[in-house]
Amino acid sequence: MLRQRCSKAPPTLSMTEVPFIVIGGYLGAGKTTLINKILGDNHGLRVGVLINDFGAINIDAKLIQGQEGPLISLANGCVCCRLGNELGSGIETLLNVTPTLDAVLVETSGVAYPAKIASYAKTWPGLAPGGTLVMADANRIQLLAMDKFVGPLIIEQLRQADRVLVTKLDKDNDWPSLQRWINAQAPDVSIMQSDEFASQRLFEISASNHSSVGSANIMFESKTFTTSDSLDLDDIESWLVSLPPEIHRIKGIFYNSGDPKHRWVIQGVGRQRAISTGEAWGKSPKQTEIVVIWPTSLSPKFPDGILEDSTGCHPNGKSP
Amino acid sequence: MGTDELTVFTARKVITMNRSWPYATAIATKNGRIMEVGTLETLKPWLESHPHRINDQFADKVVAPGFIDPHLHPSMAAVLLPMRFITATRWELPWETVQPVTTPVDFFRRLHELHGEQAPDEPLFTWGYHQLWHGPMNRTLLNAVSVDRPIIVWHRSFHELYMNDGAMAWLGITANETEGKQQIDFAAGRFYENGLAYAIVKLNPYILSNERYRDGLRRLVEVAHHGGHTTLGDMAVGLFNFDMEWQGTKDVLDDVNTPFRTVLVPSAASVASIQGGHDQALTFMDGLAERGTERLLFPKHVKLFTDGAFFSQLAQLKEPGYIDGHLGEWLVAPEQFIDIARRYWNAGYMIHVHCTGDLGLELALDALDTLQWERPRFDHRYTIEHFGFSTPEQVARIAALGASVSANVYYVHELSAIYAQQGIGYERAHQMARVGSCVRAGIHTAIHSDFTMAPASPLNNAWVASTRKNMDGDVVCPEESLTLDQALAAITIEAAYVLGMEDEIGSLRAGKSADFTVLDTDPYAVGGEGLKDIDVAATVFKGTPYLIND
Repeated sequence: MLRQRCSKAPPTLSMTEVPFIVIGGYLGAGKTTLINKILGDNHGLRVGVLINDFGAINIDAKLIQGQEGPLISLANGCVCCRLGNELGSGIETLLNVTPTLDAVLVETSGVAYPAKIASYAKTWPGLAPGGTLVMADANRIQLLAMDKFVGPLIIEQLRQADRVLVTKLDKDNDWPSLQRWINAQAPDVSIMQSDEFASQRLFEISASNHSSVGSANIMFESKTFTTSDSLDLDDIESWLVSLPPEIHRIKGIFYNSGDPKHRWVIQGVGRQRAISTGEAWGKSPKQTEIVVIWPTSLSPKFPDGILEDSTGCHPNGKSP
Repeated sequence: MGTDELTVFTARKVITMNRSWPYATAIATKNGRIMEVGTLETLKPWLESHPHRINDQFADKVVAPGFIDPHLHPSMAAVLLPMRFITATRWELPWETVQPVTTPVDFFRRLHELHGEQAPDEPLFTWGYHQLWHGPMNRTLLNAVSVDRPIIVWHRSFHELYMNDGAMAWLGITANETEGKQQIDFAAGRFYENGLAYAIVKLNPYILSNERYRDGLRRLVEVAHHGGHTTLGDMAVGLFNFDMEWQGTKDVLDDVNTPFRTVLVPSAASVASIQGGHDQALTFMDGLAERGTERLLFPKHVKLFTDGAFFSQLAQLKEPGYIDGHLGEWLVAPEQFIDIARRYWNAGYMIHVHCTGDLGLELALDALDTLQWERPRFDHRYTIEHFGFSTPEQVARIAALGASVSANVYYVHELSAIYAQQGIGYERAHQMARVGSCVRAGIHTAIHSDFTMAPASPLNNAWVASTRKNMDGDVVCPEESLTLDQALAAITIEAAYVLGMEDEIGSLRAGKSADFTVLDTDPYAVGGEGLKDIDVAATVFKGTPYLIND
């Protein structure tokens, strides 16, 4: 049993919509590597991942907390779901996971048109569009674009991205010329190298596309607050209360001076926030790390104080 | 087991489809097998040395080899057939003749009648609505029939549906959750594209329930019997769920009263997704043969896919593509396609490849070319399924590589006119399902229904193949039509060939299974033009007659 202190009712399924993030790109572009990273990282987000090819995902057995039907729950709070014949049933399965996930992420097949998959978010009750990330292998993308079978598909995949994530870039690649080439195919997308990409930035994907401004997409931004100092429960509670009302989700762990042996878990949906004790820290570094997520259209003002913003952007500014 | 007694079926005419012995008037059978085909006179050496019984119930009929549809989908039929049909065209179903309904007033009159007939606690599903005939459709109009009973109106195209209040309450679909959503129009009760996918997820527990699925399969048995089939190819076991489909198939299609056999061809992708990879899939597939029974066969066949659905214009096209510039779809990455094909090729399987566009076909042929180079096989039966768009030059490659063709010629009837206008233009649209060239190139060429995509009627398909008449009655590219004889071969001996069973079925000769389709009219008397109006009077499966009662 968890000891639980609730300032309000614990999080329950609400009408709040979950961002639906699409990871596309041709075979070998690095989709699986990225997903393995998201499933293994300690990013504080509960991401539900719909996986196209289960065999390729390398889940460390130590990280698996439980398995139920098509679902595998992981230590970092993520949940994997095998994608069967129907995308819809996978989405429904993940939307029914409690407590509500922070995001649903789908790995498309290498030959899918990402926009077609992303359009589910505009239809499916419980989902909100969360953006499309298309992966591209720096060494192969230009050759593939000339292939007799997949050339037009490769270009179309790039055009349908909000952000293109270039993988396998090395010293031999001419990065500026590759960027120019991608922008010549797909003028509206933003381009990023894979080593610049951290899981916490998943929520920025949709915000990065110039063409999506003015569309009906709900876009999200996130910010991570951290400190390695221990904190009083009262302080963290008053910090939570002082957060602006625009916050859509909040999720994280904190280092409680009153119980230094255990990590304490914070989760919240809308105005509902709950704090509870979690696992023992064990060997992992004791620290506080809290992710907050809000719709891009709103501009929340964050309180100064006990926690520092580690996202690398100004507290009240847009992400870079 | 077994008997020494011969049963001799007599007929006005027997069409054997054996080129060397084409016509007869009597067939001697024993224990479901043909002993000899000839006349009562020529059968004497058998009849004088064995006890026998003359069965003359078909003496005034024409007996043909049992019809074979080498590509249909029992699982899709099982979903569609329990629905009530309200359609603009006439449908002959074994349990009812659906009269054409061509006005909005008549549509709702018919819906009212069906509401009155249906048990009060059952949802009412209809299929066949089309706005061109039946006018506008929405929730309010359906509520006027009944607010309480769930009513679901499925569009003729399968691509959208409408619900009344009762249906939405039944499925728990609320205004709140669908507010602001695209492709779900809550006010109108309309669900399309992704919205349809949402509705289907909600409906699946009902439409794929054991009871309803088996009811659907039992209806398929009747439909297939009425079409004159004695063999079906289930050309993608696992479309919905392999285990669920196999259980249903075993319960219904393996019944001793089912008058046909089914050749089960699993979809490699579906099996791999359940088994957790293609290596595991091959092991699983190798074990399936043991599940075979008298009526359910798992020979070493596998179904692969290249490109998207022909009806959705997602076929992959070579230059110059679609008029509006949209792209087709790959169902698998081309480099994965050849990897998967190689596993099954090297394991000795007969590979069936769903190809709808000429670029999809190109991939299938490039893969075959590579596999032939790596590890040549002669009698391999690699079969091009559907064969929508192709080029004349690809026909030569199909022949050179030793592949076969199983074509959906119904495309010509239903889609050639509209695809000429709104798809790819006249030149290419008119040459779809280029089966005449295939036969001229010596390629084994069968035709199929892909039911529920086209009616499960081999004679109707043979009529399309030989007349190439579209829905407006215009003849489309007569250069690609089959002769009457070729069209009949395409639903019998050639269809047996693509299922790898030509030594057992597909023609009537000594040694083959006693599978007949009994016709009221001689096809050679009415010609290709008359094929679709020939009545099937009965079938005989392994020597046992199954009459069709009209």
